[in-house]
Amino acid sequence: MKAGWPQHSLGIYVHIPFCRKKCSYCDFYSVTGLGHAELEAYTNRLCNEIAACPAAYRTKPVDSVFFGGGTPSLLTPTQINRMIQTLASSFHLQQDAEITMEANPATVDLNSLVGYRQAGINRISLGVQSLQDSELQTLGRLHSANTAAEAITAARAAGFDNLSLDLIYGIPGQTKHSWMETLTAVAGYLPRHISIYLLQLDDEVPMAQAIARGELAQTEEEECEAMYFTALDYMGHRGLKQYEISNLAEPGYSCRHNLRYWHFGEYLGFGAAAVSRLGNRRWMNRPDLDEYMSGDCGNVPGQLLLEKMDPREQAVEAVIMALRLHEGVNLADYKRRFGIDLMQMYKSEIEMFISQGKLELEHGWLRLTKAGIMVSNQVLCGFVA
Amino acid sequence: MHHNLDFGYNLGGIHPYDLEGSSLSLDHIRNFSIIAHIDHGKSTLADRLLQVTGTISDREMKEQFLDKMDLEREKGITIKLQPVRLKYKARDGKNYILNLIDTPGHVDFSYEVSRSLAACEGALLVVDASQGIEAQTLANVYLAMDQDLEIIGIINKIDLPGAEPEKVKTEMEDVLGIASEEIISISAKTGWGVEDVLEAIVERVPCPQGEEHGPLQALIFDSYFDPYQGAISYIRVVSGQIRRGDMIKMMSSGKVYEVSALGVISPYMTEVETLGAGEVGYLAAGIKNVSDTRVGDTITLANNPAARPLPGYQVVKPMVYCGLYPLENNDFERLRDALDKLKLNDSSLFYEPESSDALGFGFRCGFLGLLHLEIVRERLEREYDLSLLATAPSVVYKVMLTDGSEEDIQNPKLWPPAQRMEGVKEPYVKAGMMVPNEYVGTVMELCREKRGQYVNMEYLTSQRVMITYKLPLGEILYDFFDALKSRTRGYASLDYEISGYEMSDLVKMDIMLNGEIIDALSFITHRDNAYYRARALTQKLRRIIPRQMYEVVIQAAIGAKVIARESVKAMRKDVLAKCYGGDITRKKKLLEKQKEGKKRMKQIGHIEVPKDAFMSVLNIEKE
Repeated sequence: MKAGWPQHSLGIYVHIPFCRKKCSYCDFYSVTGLGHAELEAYTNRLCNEIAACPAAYRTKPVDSVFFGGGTPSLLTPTQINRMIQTLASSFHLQQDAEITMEANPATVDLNSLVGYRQAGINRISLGVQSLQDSELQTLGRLHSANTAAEAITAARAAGFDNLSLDLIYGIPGQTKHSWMETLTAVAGYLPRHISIYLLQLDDEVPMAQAIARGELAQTEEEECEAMYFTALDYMGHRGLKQYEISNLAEPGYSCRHNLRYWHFGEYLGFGAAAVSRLGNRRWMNRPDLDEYMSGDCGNVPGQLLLEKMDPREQAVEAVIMALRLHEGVNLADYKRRFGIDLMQMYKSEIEMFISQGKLELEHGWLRLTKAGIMVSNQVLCGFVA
Repeated sequence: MHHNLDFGYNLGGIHPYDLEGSSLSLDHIRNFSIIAHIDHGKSTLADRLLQVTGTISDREMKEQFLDKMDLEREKGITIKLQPVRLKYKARDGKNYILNLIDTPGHVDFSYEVSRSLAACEGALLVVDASQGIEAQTLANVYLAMDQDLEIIGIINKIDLPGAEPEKVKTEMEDVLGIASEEIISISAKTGWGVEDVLEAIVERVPCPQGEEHGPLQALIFDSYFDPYQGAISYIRVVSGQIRRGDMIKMMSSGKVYEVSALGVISPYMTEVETLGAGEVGYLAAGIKNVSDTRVGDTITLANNPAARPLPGYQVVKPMVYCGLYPLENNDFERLRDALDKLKLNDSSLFYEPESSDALGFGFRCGFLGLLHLEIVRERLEREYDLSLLATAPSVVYKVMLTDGSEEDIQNPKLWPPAQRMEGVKEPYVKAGMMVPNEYVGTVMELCREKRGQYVNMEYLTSQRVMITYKLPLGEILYDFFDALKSRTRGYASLDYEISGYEMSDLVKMDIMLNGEIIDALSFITHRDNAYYRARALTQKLRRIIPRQMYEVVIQAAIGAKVIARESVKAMRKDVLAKCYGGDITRKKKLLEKQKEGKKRMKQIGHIEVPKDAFMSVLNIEKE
């Protein structure tokens, strides 16, 4: 944790809640079947919300922007450009800010990717998920393994050096062998960053219901665990080092925006379903597109206060989030920032977890062990008030 | 302890004791109990007697007036007995003192029933007009007959739609030998017929016999602890007279005390100067410890002692034992204090410190039965704010050793190794189950499952059968009554008494987690059931032990021989979930929920075991 760093800058998250089609496993907020006019109206409303952001929120330099979804790549480069320009005129957007966009391989081509690059996007995260057609079908994705490969190549060609690929493991029907094939192929594209996500199903999503009906078989937990460690191991040997539970990167290519969450940094969210955290408050724009569109300027109907945290709660959140990081918590930095000596305040808990091999303490850094990650909730509970 | 505080608050009495004179002639006193099967309306009748006689006003009336403990009201049962004095002006124009001595209704507390009865000359036998005679009705009637009490038969709830008073009358005459023309039909709920009950008490219950001027003999039939006055004893004066300021002697210990307060309960504590032969009341004498006012002891005067004590009671022995451990290890002393305090009011509670490798320091506690156990545990948790873990209850086994000696074992942990054992005896009960004809087969099947031995079967009427079995106490401890009720759609009733010890082929089953025996999970079982129970229990534990850092292997073993094995795989998947800005609140809520769940866990070595696991030994049959 770099001392002082997270408090002195701000990250901005922009939510694009549109998809061409809902994936069978996804429970994120998004709306399908909208045309160009609606996306244009959303862009206008979003720019309008950004421009009306209270002055008090704009004091800190912005050094990361993240367009997430949904499917941000349903927007045209022009629309993305307008949002970035609005951000630049409303905030102290740093010259070297990391500006990420999530993209669905099925919705991009070389043309649009060049456009995004020109609009100011300098990091792209492609939702590849798998490079096996059968698995992509199970997931309900629009793209094939070939389409994904073309998108990756096009992104490279468009000048995206900072390229990240998302992968999913634990897909029904996925095997250690097919996972290994995907990993091998992905490594061949030399991404700077990959995210590996365990398939997690909310009860409501179609895939969960298919599993409940017995049409699909859930992957065994042991199998998932093996896939997880295989990926860390295989990618680690190819220069992509784990820096967070689900994220691996080459040195210098960790996602600055996401690190902000784990470093307990501040962020503002714009758009329907976006979450913000400033100071002691965390709030969200409710996941309701119509409601969001009915607002004007800084007035977001139905904006919801999620949490108001006292200093102790903020300190607890900081530990919980930092322990997701491979490096862990730097005790000295933590003490400087929160005035709390973790080793003193949680002495018995930390000693117990260390004796159980769940935590390790090294040169002033406290972190989960490899085995500790698998039972991290147990450890994190020890820090919850 | 609401029980005591209620009394403490009312001390000094806003209800003066207004019967003229202090020494009553014996022929104006009647001492009686109410006996009934559970739910037949005993407490309601008591409430109504209090009201009809004007002992309490309608304004003060609340249901189950005599049941002071919250637990008694919640469970709708009576646990502690209660004497109360009623004043009644009979149709003959004379004033009478009627001492009602309430009795508990559950089989765990039947010893309290016999104590109450010993202080009485008569008993009201209440039978529900739609249910008829039940197992406990019979048991209680036999207790009353043993004491030569005058029994007044009462049919209650005649106002209910299903009432069949004539049928029940015939049943009572046939089975209990109570003349049908003497049976009184009432509705305790509405008060209908309650006057007739009062008249019958006056007319038919004999007045107490006793030497009014002889040396004092007073029987202690209950005692409890009051924080202000020390031990309070409920007494029945059998002969002589006791007066405030008297120096009294406990005949069992010879200890002498000065009577600081004397009174009657009508229904609040009301002080009096004297209590004479035949009277029932309470006594305080600055006695610090309830064990010094032993129930069944005889009180006499220090300067004019009686020659002999009254026949006392058998000392009650705990039938069921279990370990009680604080979930927080440093609550051990608080648990000890709480048990000490409870013991003041509950002489049947037994406890001694024990330690378990798995659970740390706790107490081995003895109870009269499972209900008693449950009540004590609930009171400890509720009134003393403790969080407790109870190990599976065990009965007391008699183990015969190869050296010819015999040992009582009430803790599976102390079970001797097989090579030192000659044989084992386990306690049996003689259980009477009254059921409608059509459930005979069902009940017999249940008894066979529980290793019962058929004794006999008696048709009380063409429809109602009393089935008697001998059953191992250990087999009926947990869910027998529930199973009996559910398999007979609630029609069966049960009563049992300990019948003695018999040889059995019993083995000790150890449960191991990752190769380590968890002493608190060991239990004794019949060899024939061992494999089944081992399998069922290990499977159950697999489901309730959460995934941990390591694989947890669960084994059941007899001696060195493992007979069942299951395992809990390591890891939980949600730990790999992604967590970005929008996920944080949810993640924290999840952790808080998990932390809450952890409070119900016990850390054993590196393994977290849910609190419930220790009771699961018992109810594996349920699934």
